[in-house]
Amino acid sequence: MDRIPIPSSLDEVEQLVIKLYEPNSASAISHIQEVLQRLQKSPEGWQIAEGLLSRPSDNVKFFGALTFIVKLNTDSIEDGDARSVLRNLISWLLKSLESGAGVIVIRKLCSALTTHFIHFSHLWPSCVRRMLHCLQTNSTDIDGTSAPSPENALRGLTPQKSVTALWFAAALAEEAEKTDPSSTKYISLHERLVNNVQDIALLLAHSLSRDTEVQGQQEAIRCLQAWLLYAQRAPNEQLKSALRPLLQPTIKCLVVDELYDNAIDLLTDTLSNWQNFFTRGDYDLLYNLFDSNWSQEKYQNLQSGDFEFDSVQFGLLMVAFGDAQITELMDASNERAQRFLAGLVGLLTAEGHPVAEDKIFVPALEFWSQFVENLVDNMYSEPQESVSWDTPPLSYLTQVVSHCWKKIQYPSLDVYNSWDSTERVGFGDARKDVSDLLQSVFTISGQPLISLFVDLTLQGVSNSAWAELEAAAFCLGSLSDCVSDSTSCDDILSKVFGSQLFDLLRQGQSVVPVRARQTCLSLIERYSDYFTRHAEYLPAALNLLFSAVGDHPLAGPSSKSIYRLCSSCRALLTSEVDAFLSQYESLRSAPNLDSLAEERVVGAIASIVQAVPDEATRLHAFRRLMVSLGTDVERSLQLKDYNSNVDPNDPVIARAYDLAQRPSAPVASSEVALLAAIRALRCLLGCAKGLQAPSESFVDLDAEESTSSLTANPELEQMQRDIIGILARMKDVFGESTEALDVICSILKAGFSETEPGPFVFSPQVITEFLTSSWHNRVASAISTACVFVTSIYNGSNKRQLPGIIHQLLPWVVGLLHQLQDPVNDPELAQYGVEFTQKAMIKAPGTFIQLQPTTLLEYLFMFAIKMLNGREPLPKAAAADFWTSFITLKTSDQDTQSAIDSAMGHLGPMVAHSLVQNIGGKASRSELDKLSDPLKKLVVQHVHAKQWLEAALNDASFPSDKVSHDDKALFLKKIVSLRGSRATNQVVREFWLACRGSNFAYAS
Amino acid sequence: MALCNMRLAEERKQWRKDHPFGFWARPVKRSDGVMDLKVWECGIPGKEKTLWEGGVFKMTMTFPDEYPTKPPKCKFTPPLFHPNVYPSGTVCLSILNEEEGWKPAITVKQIALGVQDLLDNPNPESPAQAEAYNLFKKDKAEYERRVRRVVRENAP
Repeated sequence: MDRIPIPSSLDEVEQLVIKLYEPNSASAISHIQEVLQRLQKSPEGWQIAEGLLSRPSDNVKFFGALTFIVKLNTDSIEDGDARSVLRNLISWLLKSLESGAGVIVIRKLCSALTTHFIHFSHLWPSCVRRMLHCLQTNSTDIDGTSAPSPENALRGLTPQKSVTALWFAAALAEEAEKTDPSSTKYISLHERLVNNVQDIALLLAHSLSRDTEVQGQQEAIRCLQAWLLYAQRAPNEQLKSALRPLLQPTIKCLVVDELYDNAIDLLTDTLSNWQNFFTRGDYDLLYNLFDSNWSQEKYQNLQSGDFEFDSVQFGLLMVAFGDAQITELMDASNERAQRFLAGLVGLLTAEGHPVAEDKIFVPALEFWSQFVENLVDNMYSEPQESVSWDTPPLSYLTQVVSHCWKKIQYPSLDVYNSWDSTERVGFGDARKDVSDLLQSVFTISGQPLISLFVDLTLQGVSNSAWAELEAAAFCLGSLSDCVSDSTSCDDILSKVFGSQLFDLLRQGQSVVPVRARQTCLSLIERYSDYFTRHAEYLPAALNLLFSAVGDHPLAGPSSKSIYRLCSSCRALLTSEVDAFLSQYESLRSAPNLDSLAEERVVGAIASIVQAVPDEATRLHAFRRLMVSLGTDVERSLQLKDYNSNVDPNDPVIARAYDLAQRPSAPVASSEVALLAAIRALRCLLGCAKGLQAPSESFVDLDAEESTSSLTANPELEQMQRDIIGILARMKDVFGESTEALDVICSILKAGFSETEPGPFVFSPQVITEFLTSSWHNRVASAISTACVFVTSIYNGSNKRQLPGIIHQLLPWVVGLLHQLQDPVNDPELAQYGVEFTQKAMIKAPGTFIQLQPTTLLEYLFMFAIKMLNGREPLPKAAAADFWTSFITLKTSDQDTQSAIDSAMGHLGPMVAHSLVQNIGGKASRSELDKLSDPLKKLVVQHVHAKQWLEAALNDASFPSDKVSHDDKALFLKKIVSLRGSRATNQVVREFWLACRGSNFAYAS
Repeated sequence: MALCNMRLAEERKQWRKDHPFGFWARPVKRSDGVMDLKVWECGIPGKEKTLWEGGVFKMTMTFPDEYPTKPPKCKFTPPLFHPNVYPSGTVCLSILNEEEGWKPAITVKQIALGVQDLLDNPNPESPAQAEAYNLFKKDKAEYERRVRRVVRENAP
């Protein structure tokens, strides 16, 4: 669009405004707007505003009023000018009313008058009274000392003028609410505004009482709502006492159809947010209203499925009222309240499915959750002598629970599929809210709630009512956490777990639909504690779960349950270990066995193997498991050699790809090989983890070298050799895969924390050899494993071997760092490497300081300085830890200690230099705490620390010129006198800020 | 302390009234069955159309006595593979840092949404764990593979 010339006459401005409201491109509109805004802000703006208001078009007039607002907000004018602007505005308002200008013009002029009041409230402090007077007398008389009392004016106003006054009054509250509450600028404005509230109350009462003027009543309610919001923000007795008497007239407006929307919105909103604004009398009136025929009709409409906006609003009013009356509603002796509470029970029974159709269920459920939580709090704060379930309010809870159970039943599949995603998620959320509510109810009710859902579940089974069964099982499942640590409900639960439910579920989808099966299966997982106490039901449960693992949608949840049950009930299942192995072997031939599910199943079985008491049986079982896993390993290795394409229908594809990833065209065998290898390795990892002793079993940390490792079983040793052989081959053949190598390292780690011998519990020597062998890739992962390794040895029973192990691993790690040259070449390797050396120095100071050749040790120190100077956050943090440890390194061996001290004497200045560079601005803010650690230690541990730091602070390379010599000296003084205390961090932070040149003053 | 509990009761109420789809959050129950408002368990779903879609990640929010002056601590249990989650599971996010973006007006809902947003938008400026951070920086393909697996392991 061409550039618009700046208009030179009012006519041109008018044309431009008219264009603004015509359909046009967004860029054209914004261009016009820009020109007009420039005009508004120019000194001629005031004349333009007047001129536009005199034109016939409403849009143009509107823009004129808007221009007044812009001018009032941006120009600073003298009181005299402000008075004439006010007169003009009132005059334009009267003229516009006279000439029948549109609503938008009148309202905008009311806004302009409000804006005027915001800025010049001292010129017409009683603005409402003044407006009413002017409107009634058709004058612009603003100069009288005080405007006459409004009663007369109100009587003489036309309906149109009353509405205008209401718009003005509403705009006052709305605009004043937007002012900055913390600004002192507006204090007197708010005082004057509050002084107007009596007049406003008169205006509102007058308008509300005029039944024949519906628009006046509607606007009065809107205006009142604006003032209630204002009053909530700045509560003030004068406001409250003036506005409060208007509530009852508003409540009475509810039954008038034309006023219903406005009144219900106001009441619901105020009840939700400002309950103590209502008086006893107001609540009485509302109770009476809810008892009226009018309410009954609304209520029944809602219950029978009328979810139009109006109808739902009524339900929301009930909920808000219930929230406000929650204390009364808990009072069993309050009949009226209990009657109302019964109505809230009924809100849970409206026709239709929650969210998709029934729009009141979720808000009503929210009320009930809140209500029950309050009941619980009450019962705990003032213990009751007895709880009566036969009378309200508790008797209602039984109904609430039963309604909820009905409401959360899934619809038929075609109905469900017709919902959009929001409706589905909303329905799911409502179910979660119900389970939340049930847990609270359980706190009051205890056992009977479990009984209820047990009975409903059984009823579902015997009636083949799957949706009901599903919902009952869901509810029962949500209570599992409530009973997990007690046996009190076991007998009741046995009714379900000993029923024919499991048999039924095993018959597959043709009998029980998938959703119900899924929920029932998760019931097993949720009650796994129960099964540890009732081994008699375990086989049926596990058989069921195994039958579901091959079923794609059920694979995830059922494998999780299998893992949890087998792991926690391992000791009870050892006699069945062969049966489990057979189950697994046959599962492997299922065409769609999910990889994650398989890993879990392997882990589950391994955990049973772990618990087998007899060693020979245990090893036999393990060997059988390894036969399957070994097959997968071999296959992956063969495929790697195959060097050709694999047909998508080849069964090996099903072992390499999960259902969703299956290829449709031939794939390179190397790709299939890698996937198969990863799956095999992950199963091995599952196995290694399953074989770990349960964490609660007793570990004697002080015990000397465990005797069992001395009398190792040769068969076990052979197994270990086989496994390490597999790992070594996989590492070499699939060495290019990060994932494969990471899994291999995880397998090693799984054995580190074990105190008893096992197939994955390798000797330190074997691990050391494995780690220090060649890695094509990802050697960082091996170093990270070495870190875990030396840490776990320290905690375990092989303590005495530690110096020897470090003696082997340390040169390997430092050698790798040496090859790296600079930390930036592989920050991850650098980080793990330095972390390892830090652990090594703490655990074997002598070995560390005697690292040969000595140049290697020197190299390491320089490397750690470089890392501390670097920009990578994690390596920098590792370096900070390294230096913190080294600065404080202590040993009882004299020679070692003097070597450490001598090294520190050389390194101290460098460490100080690096720390000061960082703190002087090079580090980022989040690193400062970490960097304060070595600084604190340095100050406490070394006599020369002060000189070192001083030199570093005054070095020419200091990164900031924003701090003076004195600032630095003061900083140093503070640091030294704090003697390594926590307050150092704050001092460091302030100094860093000062160096970075922020606005913070660096004052003492 | 009183302020802390009042605010948490209000947060609980607000969460009930209005919580984002697919999320859950509730105070834990103490052994006597009464709620402990200062420890919440939540489920953070991966956002739709991102790598994280399909997973729901369990997180604990622990509110200090000084809440809302001080922020809650958010911790994934078990720890999550993510560049801004510490090996302990603690989430590193500016709005949860007293010295950075925390403001007492921040609601539980905003925290939950903030953490969800962090999942697919890691902040490489403040790494919290080496594993995820280094893969994220150096090997996006492997990073994504790992995330997909984490999502699968955490499918509800």
